[in-house]
Amino acid sequence: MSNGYFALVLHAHLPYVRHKEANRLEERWVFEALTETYIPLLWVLEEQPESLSWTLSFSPPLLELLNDPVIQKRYLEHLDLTLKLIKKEKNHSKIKHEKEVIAFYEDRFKKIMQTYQQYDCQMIKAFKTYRDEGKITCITSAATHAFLPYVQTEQGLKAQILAGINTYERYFGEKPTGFWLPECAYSPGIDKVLADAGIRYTFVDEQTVLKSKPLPRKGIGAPVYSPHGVALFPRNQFISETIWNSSVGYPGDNDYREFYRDVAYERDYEYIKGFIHPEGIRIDSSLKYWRITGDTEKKDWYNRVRAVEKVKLHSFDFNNRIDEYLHNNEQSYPPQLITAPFDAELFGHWWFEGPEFLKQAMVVSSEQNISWITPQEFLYRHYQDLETVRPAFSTWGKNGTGEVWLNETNAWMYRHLHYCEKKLVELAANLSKEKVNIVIERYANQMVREWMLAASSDWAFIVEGNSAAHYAKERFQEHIERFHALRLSIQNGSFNVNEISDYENEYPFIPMDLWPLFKNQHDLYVENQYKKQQTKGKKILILSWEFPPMVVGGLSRHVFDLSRKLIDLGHEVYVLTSSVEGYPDYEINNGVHVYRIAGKQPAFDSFFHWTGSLNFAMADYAAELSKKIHFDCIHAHDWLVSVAALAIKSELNIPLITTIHATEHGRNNGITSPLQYEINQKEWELMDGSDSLIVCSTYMKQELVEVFQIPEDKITILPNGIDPDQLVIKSQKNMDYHNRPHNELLLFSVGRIVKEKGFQTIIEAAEILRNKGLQVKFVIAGKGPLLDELREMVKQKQLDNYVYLAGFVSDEERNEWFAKADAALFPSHYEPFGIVALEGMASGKLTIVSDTGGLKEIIDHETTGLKVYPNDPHSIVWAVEYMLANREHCKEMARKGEETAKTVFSWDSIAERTADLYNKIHNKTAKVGGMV
Amino acid sequence: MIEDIVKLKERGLTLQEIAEQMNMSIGKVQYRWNKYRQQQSPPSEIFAPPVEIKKDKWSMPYEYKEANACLIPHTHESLYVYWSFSNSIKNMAEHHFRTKWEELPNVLKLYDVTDIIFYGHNAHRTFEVDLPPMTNNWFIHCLEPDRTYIADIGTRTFDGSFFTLLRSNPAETSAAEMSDTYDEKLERWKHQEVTQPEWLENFSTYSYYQKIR
Repeated sequence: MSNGYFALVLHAHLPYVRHKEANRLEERWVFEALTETYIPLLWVLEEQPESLSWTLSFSPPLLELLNDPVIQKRYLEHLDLTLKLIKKEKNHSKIKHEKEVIAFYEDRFKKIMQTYQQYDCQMIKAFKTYRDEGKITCITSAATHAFLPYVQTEQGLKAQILAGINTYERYFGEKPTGFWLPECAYSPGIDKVLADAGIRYTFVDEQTVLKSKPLPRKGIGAPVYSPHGVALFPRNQFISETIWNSSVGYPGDNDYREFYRDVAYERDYEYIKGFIHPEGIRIDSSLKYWRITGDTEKKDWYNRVRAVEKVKLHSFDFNNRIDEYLHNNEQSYPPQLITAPFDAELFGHWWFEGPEFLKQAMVVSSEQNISWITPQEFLYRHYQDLETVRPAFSTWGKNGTGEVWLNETNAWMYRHLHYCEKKLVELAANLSKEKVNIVIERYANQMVREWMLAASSDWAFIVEGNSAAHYAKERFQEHIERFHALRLSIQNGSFNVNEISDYENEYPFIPMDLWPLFKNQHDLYVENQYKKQQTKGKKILILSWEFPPMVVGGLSRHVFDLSRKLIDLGHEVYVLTSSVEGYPDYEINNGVHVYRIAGKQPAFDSFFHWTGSLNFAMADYAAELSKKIHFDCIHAHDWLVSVAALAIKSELNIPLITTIHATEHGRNNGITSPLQYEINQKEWELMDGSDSLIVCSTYMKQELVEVFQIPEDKITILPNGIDPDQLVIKSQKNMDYHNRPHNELLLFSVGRIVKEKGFQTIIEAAEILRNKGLQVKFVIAGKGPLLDELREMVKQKQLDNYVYLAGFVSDEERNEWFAKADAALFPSHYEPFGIVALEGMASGKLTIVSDTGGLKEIIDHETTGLKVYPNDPHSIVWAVEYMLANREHCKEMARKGEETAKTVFSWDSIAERTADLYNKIHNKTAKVGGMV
Repeated sequence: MIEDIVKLKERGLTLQEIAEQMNMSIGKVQYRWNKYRQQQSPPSEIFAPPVEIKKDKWSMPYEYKEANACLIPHTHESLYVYWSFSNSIKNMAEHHFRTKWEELPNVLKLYDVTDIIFYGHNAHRTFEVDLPPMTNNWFIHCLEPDRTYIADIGTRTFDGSFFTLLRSNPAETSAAEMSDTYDEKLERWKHQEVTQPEWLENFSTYSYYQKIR
């Protein structure tokens, strides 16, 4: 004898083929397996040597089938019929050899009937008795034998594993310590759920262990631990092959019974018709009189004596091979282990003499002192000697891959299965809200069952293999359809006790509470969190591509101020904006919910497509948020969010209000480039698709009406607001930084250095003023594409003492400049509103603006400030000279300007008017909705 | 060809079965069938049949109208991806590109994202596959074993750049060879230096309110 072990593992499984109506062909699979495998295995257990033990796995569908009274009754009828056929055959037969085989079958079927009745048709109880005696260890598998790596969610995986364990526990009275992975299909993460469920070991293919990281030192000579601590017993291919290999394995021996020749196909129709399918379809009768004979169509009679001799021979050979293998691969800590897992149905059903072979092999082993061990016992003895490795996705199928269960013929299935899983998670989240109606709970449980039944690895396998492909496809579709029908009944409120009872009775399978397995901690948290919250205000979804700290133009500040003020008014504000590195992707800032979102291509080199990518992400986010937050309206800002705004509006069916801050047409004084054209289109689509538009000035309204043909009554003018608190200087430390002559005038300008802001006109004016010998200094703060050009212009004209380009300034520095300056100057050519002018006024400084756009509406010439002609340096010169000549009046204008800025343009009043508009639009669209 | 589809359809076959019988992609069959139906349906105000009130029986669709791309491990060197679009994504794509959905090119882009946190532009390697129209799944072959991949389904901009519409989950190709090299990730995990494994575990804890805090 050798120092080492052999472990036999049989996995018994059938798909759940119970049908309410009688005579379904697939039901025969159960009968055949009972007749040829499960009952003969009981005979093996009756007679096996005391010292041996092996492992038998029962899949949950098989447990349910074996325990089903309908199946039990029908099997007895089936046995009766077979015995009748045997009788008829006996009378009919004239040939000696044939008579012998028939006699063999007569004895055998009588014994089958006797065994089945002896155990009261309770097969599971029978196996349990032998388990209790220690002759076998029983384990189980996934609830419906799903191919676990292709389950999508952790909840689905848990449901398959836990419902499997639960079913086993129901029949065997305790939890299993081992678990059969359907198709030995492993993928990282399955071990976690198994470990959490208390499973200590499972089985994988040889290649799974050999290709793990790192290669275990014992190879397949010992089981290994998965990262989450489940012991993986590798199938020993060399030894297993002696049995399952179709060309060299024992079952192909010429003396063994031929599987493909059955009496049912040999007799005349009239003779056999009472014993085949009522519709006249010939189906296997289990009476097979011939032996494999050889590679010939002409088969010899089956000869029991010869077959039994072969069984003995093969049993010795098998033991010799095991012994030799253990001898050649001797190892210690732990000793060499050969694990040989098989489908149970291989023994008896496919290989008729298989069960006898098993018994005989056990007898020989026990005589030759070859140690059989169960994986459970092996772990008990050697758990300290196992290595931990990291296996990858693999199966015991062709090439060790998923290709049998995923290929051109069956790939279409997974989309439906995954969809069901996601809908179950959604349902569980919804049901977790409150106490659930018991009928709905039954629907939910049945939905889980339907998904499980559709998820059997059998369907994908059969569709691939093409035998019974039609049935497999039909069953798959049936369960998917039933899933959706049940879901529909919950959704439209037509659920009722009768309907659900029908569904349950049709597939009386795993009668446990299943839906709670699809709950998710986070969803429970959200449900609880949002149950409490009740506000009276509106829930407003704001879309703006910029939001502090990201400040490109005035938009960011505007949205921030508006949002805060809306919060003060009791509304809830949710801002979707673009992500900024280093800033949180979600925060509550001054009561405003800010979501900073990255598109899927956040570094797209085309700005236009960058915004496109951002818009897709924004719309997705809004849809996600809307699952719990019921927005009353959307408020979009400028074309950059146009795609998302319109998509969300149509998805959520809520009003869309859009503020147009500026237009491409206005900025460029017309549309010339293709990009400008695209932006122009986006602007128009957004304006057209919005329920209401906000602009900041009459000037802008005019532009929308004239350039975009927007109806006037769709447009509301709401000026931009300022927050005087933002203009307060916090420290005085830099105030003396710029020493300057006492009587020099200082004019401060700030803005993006772009053409339409008109800063170049300032430089031209400075030149004239220098030539006139006046002491004036212009400070221009801001950055932008035109900055370098302006710097060059100042240098060329040698105006360094007259014009200072400060570049980017912080808010604090800007406030300091306002404080130091004698006046604020904004000579824009195009300015939809001109928030900076308001800031100048609010700082208490004389403010000089171009007589254009929104600027001209803010200032009353020579009362609250001065206006100059756009693009005219002489006009600026005029203003400077006016200041020098009318110093007192200028102070008076500055005072009045400050008052106007702080009252008319306060955010408090503007936010209130914005909220009024939300109400108005909401009521208007609600009315329309009610009429349709 | 459409005559055959109509005949089979009248015999009660599903589009899936018709596609198999005719050895065509289901997409093509669906496309032809829809086109045929559009041509057949008369203006409803003239020939509208009397409205029948009956409970709609749900039947299995070819795909679901949800935005989804799912990448599944297949072999050492292949992966499978299936996907579907929501109406919202189709509309946004039409809006953004100002092009009809049917006229937008279908492109699959595969990213090798082994051991990196992928944000859209930092893959080790990428390649693009131009897909036939009406495709909603694809086997991606000739990949390198033991790598992690992500698949995007998208379209192409007018200047030829790939534009992402859907992004899949990551998935791995298994190792093809034995390797006895020391595995750092496993060692860190064994010695509890990390609280989460640093390798891909296949199952996401899917939550319905994923993005709600």
